[in-house]
Amino acid sequence: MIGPRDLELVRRLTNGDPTALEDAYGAYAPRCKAVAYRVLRDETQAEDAVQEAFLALWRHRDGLVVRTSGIGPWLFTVTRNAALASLRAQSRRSAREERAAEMERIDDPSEMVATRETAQSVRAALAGLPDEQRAVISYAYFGSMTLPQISQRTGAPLGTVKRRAQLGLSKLARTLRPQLS
Amino acid sequence: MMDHPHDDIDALALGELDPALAREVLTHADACPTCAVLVADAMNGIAALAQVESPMDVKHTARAPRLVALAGSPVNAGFARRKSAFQNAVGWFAAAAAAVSLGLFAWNIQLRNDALGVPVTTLVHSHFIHHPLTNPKTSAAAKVLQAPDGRWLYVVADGLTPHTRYELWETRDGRASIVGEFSTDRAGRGTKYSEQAPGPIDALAVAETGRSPDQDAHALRWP
Repeated sequence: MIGPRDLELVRRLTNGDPTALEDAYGAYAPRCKAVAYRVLRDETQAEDAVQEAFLALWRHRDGLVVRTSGIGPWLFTVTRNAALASLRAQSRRSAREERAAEMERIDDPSEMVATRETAQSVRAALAGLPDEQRAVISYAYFGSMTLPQISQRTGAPLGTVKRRAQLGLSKLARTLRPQLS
Repeated sequence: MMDHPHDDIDALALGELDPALAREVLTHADACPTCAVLVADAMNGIAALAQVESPMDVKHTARAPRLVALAGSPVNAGFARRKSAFQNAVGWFAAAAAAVSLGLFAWNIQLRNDALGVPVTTLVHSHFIHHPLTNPKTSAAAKVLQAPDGRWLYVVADGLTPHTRYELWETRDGRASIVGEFSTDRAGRGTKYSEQAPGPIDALAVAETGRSPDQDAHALRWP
């Protein structure tokens, strides 16, 4: 459910108020940049991904998805997509493989962020997922692996992997909805 | 408009689609209530995971004003002075595109509303609760969106037997009843929107028409 801050921002964006975009930037840019930086490990490139996401937000501000998901979830997803696209464009496959290998050495991906308060909630939510769903989410989000790669790695059919990703994301969203609002 | 890209929605959320296809899926979802809900649900999952990223100290360099310039309306003289001719041109283009898209958006909403028979306002206001319906014996799954007070239900099912009729069951105060019926398409997908009297819902199930959830070994259930 969208929080009151997002509802107001969405209303202003839909009305074409460019200051709403600035306010959204002030509210969400730091975490968006953190999301992009995690993928790219480069501050300038992370900023580019954030810029791209906010420009896309302006283009899609009238769409149903922004109104349904809320601005934060929309921005985090689109920022990460932009970062991953940038990474792919640079053909930095070795970096991804390195991260995937690093992923294998980590039993619990949320250990990487043990200091943050909300990491506790995320860790609990991840732990609450069935093993197979947690594995897919961990490989995909923290290891930046594609669903076909996860299918190959786990030996599960691609359709099953997709289903696990869908159920896992949905459950995380439901469990952590209070924090997201 | 492209067909419902259900298979691509999680790939979109996880950043696997190439940018062109991602834009296509997002544009479709922006005008399709069914896909908008599914995309939003997946995005909320990504947002949950994003909570583990430590926010960095983002300096408000000249980059932030560029957003305002592209939005087509300078709100600050300082920003306006820094705008380049190119940014001005892009700004006017964005404003014009926004005006056109507003019209298209209104048209699309009406179109989807007529096609699906779903009051779009109930979806776009986001006042709903999600329930996943599953069964360990099958890969089929369904999702039911409901108003917080139970006044309406919207089921989206996938992976069921193609061209088959199914019933959505609910349990209130220990009593199970049929809320609505829908048919699956050739891919085993089906949707149904139903309205009813408000009240708490204790359980939901999707079973083949003519069988109760207890009689259908492959019935999808929540919780």
